[in-house]
Amino acid sequence: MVETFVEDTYCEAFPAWVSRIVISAETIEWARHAATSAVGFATSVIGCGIEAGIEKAPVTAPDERPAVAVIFAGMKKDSVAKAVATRVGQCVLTCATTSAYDGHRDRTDGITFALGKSLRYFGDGYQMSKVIAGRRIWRIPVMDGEFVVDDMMTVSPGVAGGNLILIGPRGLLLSEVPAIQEEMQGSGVILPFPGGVVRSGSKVGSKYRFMSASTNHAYVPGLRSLSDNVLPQSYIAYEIVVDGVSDEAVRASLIRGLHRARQRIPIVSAGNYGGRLGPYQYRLHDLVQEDPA
Amino acid sequence: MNSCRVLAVHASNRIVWPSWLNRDYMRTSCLELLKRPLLFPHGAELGDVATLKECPSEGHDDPVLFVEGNTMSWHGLGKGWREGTLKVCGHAGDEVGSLMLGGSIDIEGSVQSGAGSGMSGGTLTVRGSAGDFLGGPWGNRPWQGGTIVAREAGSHAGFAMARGILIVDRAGDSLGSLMRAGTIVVKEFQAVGRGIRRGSIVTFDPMRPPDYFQLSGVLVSSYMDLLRVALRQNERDWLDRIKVTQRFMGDQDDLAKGEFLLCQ
Repeated sequence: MVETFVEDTYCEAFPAWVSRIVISAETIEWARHAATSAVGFATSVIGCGIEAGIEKAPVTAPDERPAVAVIFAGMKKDSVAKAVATRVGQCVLTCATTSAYDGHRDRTDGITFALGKSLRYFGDGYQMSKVIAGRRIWRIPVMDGEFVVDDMMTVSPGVAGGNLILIGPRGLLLSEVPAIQEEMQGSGVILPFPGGVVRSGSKVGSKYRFMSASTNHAYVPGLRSLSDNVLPQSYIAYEIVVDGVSDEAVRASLIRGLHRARQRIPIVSAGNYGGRLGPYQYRLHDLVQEDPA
Repeated sequence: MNSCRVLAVHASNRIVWPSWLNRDYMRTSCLELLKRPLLFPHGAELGDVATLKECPSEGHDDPVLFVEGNTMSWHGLGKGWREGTLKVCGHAGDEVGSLMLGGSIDIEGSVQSGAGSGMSGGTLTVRGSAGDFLGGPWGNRPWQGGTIVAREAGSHAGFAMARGILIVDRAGDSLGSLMRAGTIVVKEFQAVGRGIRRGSIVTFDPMRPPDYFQLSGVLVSSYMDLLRVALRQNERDWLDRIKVTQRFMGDQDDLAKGEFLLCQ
């Protein structure tokens, strides 16, 4: 156990619209193939327009087949709806034996948008709709049988951009960060960056007017000569970003990650934007006091 | 004894329920209800034919109305039922649960024809046999939603149905005639009806489908898994084995999307 310095700061997250899709298939491998494809190129709303990831928690699909859940998060509900429709249409419908269901049917604060209702036209008139246990589904004929998809999906208020910045020696971070991000995974959250970790942490704005975000020079080891660089000598930094379906889910993930990080990581900090970005502020010193269980 | 409430009892031209129940006594407790004379059209009191009782409501959140006795001359029992449970210990007459909107009606015995006609929600369970036109239309209004479960059905079950799920162990002839949508799950039947425009008939009956169905190949879909999960609580062991092995479609009367799914 090392003595970890937890900086007296807070992580700032922003309101987002999230959609949770349950993908089932004949085998878990096919479900994972579809999910992996569907969440590709969706690390950050800044460049991808959407953030997406695979929820690493047990999932029960309405048809009780092997399933995974994917979460999409975006700034606007229209952009989330559009991304879900495109990605399910191109990555899930196309994958062998899969079906797609709304993973947020029980959310009362959500807004629904058409998914099966628009994808059904691929059936060229041979599609069928059914109402089973109160849910309308579409059966779209495809070459291995049928693609079953919910008529409507739900987009609900969520939280995006929760983060921890881990600072330490390069070797230590590379060996410890995978375990920390694994600890942060769970029900209702995703870590949208590759391997759950981002090395190109960003700050808001740039010296170039056309850039909305640029490298967070305060944590870049090659820019230690700058007065506002905070990295100690021989240390580097990685950031873990977490999006969730609710404030509670993100908070719980940050608590788990922080407690895990305190076992080995010398310095833990968080990114914020002076309170300008969003209403969700998680003070690290408060999170440390909370029980990760 | 817990009090229970009558939440929705509708009248028809032949029904025993007096019309004042609809307007003024929608939330009358059973005890209060029992004090009132409930007259049949021919003048007999309710107690002569059936008895209204309060039901022990342990484990039930919903209010329950309990009717004990045979009510064969009771037409339209539970018509327009929308909330709570109506439980009948005995047989019932025509058009039970017609135009039902929600809640559940549970008949211990058998019912006569037209049960569940025109219903649009809720669950109608008939533990005995049902007459003809189970889940049929009410006038021009087809069955539009909800679930009907029966041990046995007469002819024309699911006639012209537009939505909903009908589950029967055995059905008579003309099953699903003129179906527009919905699903019939049946273990055995005498004959499939004609003119099935859309909708599904799921069956275990190894009887060869009528000639006008064309073999369309084995169905690989999670739809049947979804259906099986939804039907699990219906106390029918054979529902757990639903797995389509063959699919027939293309009713030549109509050249439409009605399908016949054969399970093993």
